[in-house]
Amino acid sequence: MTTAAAIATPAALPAPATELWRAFRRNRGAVAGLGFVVLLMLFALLANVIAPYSPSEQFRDATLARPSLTPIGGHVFLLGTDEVGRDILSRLIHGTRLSLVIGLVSVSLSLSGGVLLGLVAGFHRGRAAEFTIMRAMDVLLALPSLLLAVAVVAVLGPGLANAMYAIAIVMLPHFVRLTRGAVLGELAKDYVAASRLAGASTARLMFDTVLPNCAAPLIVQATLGFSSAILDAAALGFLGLGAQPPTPEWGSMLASALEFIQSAWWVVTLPGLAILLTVLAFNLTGDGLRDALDPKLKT
Amino acid sequence: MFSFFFKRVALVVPTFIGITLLVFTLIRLIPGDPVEALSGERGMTEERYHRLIHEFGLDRPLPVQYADYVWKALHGDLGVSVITHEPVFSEFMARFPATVELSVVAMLLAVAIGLPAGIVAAVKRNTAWDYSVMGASLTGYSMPIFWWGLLLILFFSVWLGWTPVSGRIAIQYDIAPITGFMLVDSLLAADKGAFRSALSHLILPAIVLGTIPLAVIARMTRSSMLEVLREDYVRTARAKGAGRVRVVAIHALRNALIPVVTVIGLQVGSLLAGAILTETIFSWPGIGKWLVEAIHRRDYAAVQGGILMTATIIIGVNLIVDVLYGVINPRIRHA
Amino acid sequence: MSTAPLLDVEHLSVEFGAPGAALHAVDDVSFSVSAREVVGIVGESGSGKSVTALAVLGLVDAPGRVRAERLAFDGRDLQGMPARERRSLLGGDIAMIFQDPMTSLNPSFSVAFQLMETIALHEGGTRRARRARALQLLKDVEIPDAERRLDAFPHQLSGGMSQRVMLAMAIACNPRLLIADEPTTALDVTIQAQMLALLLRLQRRHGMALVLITHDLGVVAEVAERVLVMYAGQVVETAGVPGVFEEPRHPYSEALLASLPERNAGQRRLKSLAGVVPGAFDRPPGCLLAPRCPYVQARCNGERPALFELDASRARCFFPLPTHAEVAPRP
Repeated sequence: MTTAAAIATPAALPAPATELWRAFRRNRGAVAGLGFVVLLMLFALLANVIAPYSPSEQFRDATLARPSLTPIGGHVFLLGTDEVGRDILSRLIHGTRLSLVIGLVSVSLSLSGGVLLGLVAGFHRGRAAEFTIMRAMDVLLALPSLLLAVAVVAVLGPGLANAMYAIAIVMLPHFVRLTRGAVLGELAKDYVAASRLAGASTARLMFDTVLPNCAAPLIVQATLGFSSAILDAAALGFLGLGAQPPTPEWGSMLASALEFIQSAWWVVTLPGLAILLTVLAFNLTGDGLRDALDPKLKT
Repeated sequence: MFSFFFKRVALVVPTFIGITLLVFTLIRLIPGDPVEALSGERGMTEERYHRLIHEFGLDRPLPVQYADYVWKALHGDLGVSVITHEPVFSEFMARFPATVELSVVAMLLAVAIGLPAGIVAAVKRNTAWDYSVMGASLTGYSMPIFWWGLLLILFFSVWLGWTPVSGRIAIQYDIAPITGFMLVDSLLAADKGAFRSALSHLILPAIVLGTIPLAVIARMTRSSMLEVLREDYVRTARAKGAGRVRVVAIHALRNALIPVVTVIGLQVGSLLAGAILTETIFSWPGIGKWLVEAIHRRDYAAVQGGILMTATIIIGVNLIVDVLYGVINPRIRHA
Repeated sequence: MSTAPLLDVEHLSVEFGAPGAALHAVDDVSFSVSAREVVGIVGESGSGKSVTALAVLGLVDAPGRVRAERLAFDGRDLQGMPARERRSLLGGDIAMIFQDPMTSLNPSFSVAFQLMETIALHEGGTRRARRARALQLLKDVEIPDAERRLDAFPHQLSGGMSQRVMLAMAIACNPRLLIADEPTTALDVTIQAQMLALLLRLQRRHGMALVLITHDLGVVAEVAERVLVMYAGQVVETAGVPGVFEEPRHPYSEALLASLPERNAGQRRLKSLAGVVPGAFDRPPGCLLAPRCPYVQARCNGERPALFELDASRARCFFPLPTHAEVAPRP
């Protein structure tokens, strides 16, 4: 094939979504992570069907049973039971649903609030609105995330819902900064000036024109936000400030584990393993997304 | 150079004001009666109730209360603990050295292992070395550290019996707290047994606390190093005949470390947050454990004071790191 | 030549990428440089001229693969040499300066440090002696206010001054061969002439062989004694300098000359060849220029031409352009 012929018939450019998937697919770790996330979603949706027992049902004659295939009192506890006889496998499966919900709620709240604030801050550059918002974000960032979450929960009171609000607040500054940064970058470009000249209102500019172009880094941050939300929720649960018993949240399952560390290692190891694998999966997916989107961000 | 310094300090002021506002507001937001919350007393007589309101200044306008609060805070008066009736400030300072000792050792571990790991991963890019360092690092910051602590306790204390489960030093040792740092004090007391005991109590919590900073430092060093190794001046150094070691250790590292220093400094915040969890697991008598207990016991004065102190310390450390960055980066130093 | 060449390169190839689908950055390049000679290597971006120089110095890293039948300096086989010995040549007997001086100096170290380092690596000496040498070198490259500049940091220097510092580092140990890769491209036009003149002065004073890599034919005309013209990784013509300008034998050399602004006075468009340089995936089976060559014939598409010896030069063409002496009609 001569060069002349090659110039004459340029290959059709693939759709951006296909290109993104292709770039993503090259990273094996990211694909594995995404696969695991999908698996988790299945577990969460089908928890009632898959889990052998109810997560709060206590089997009094089988407390702290070891993981095994041999039934105790007619019931098989594949991953053992905890100190009041609840099946750990069932609790872990139902806990998946909780973890995903925690991630979803916290990230959604944080994302929507953060994007809104970021847009306002970016569009009102140099004015009081921007200054107040960004200084408020600085204050939130000055505190380490767990400390801030603990402070918020200390005020609101322990509980899963309050934990989710606290985590959403903790993640807020990251979304605000990201959005504002992206907005400032986009505002300098010509297409925005063109839109303004055409008479677009600020709101329309914000949502229709600028925001779609900032989507990529926000998506990456949201995915990684899932993992920090799950970790923080688990930490709060562990400290007794998040999900309260008998809720099968993985972190609170570890709260009483210290007592049984000598007698029942499975109570200690398994919930934490679930957290690790889930967070790992989200991190791998988020990293993969970031690497796949990166060259795109430059075009 | 000086304008850089002053600008940094100036930026800190509004943040500090914001923190005081935040902490001040938080306590006012607690559901329930503020008098009960601040005093810990319930079912008081009406007379006592009014007296307490006056004592706590709750009858004055909010801005005045706030100003009063900040003024007192700047003088080290953070109120009195509801439970122990001791000044919050001295409660904090009594436990602070334990946390500092733990954090310092944790950070030393993180840097001592993370930095070389990141360098090796960068120099041996895309080899087994690289993948294992990056894999370990990814696992490190994907783990809940309280679980990691439990695992280590399970393995080293319960199964192997090598390390103790909790506390700072075995009960039989009574070391005079000169510096507040058990390792230093036991050396000063020339008590080798005590030193060994302190060390064995310190090692697991330090590993647990240092894990996330280690992971972050390794990652950051690797990416910084990779970027630097691609630079033209590295090619120039090789064209001058410098050997591999010299190119990496002197030409590349000096530049690669600049962003890493900032990251190390920022990890201090992460350390204090991690301390909350680590101290709880290992019953380490530091401010993290104290804060969690205060929350459980509704000791709001202590919670308020603890958060303010912690935030102030973090802001201070970040300021120092910022200035240090200006010193290291030749573009700013020789502007 | 009566004397053996200082640098002898025979059949050098550099490949990147998977074997089979590799990019041939340098394809069967052969040339030699004699002591004190000034040789120009000319070509557009991507022609492989920089990679050739890096390969000679041994600075091409994996995933690049360097192969050569012979790569010798002063009769010594560079490929067979232990790495340490080869490294001692770099900066000592063979030196190189690069295109962008602003990024080629280490921003964290002073000029003095970087100059003294070169001296320390090859000659040693006390700190005081090396510092005195460094100062002298700065003066040799005509940097004004050398005393003060000695302790400056790279971000405090302009482009022209940075390049002079690079030059000072290069000549510090009296190299016998200096390779300059586009030394003036990143500089202001007003400084380019100065830099070239300085380069030549130093070359004569130190008796160095100079390999000047450039895309600018004007520079070659002024400075070089011989020139290599490269295209798509191959050498397509080697000739003496006045000769190649008057009588290019390869169609690509002719096209390069024809596109010079000086030769297009009064025209509205610069003359150029249609098409683009072949990349990794559309390399022609025959002559690499065939898809674009105005004189292409059937044989050109099927066979790869070798570098043929002509009277006064060598050209990689089955049908080299006629000299003025020949009057053969062209189809």
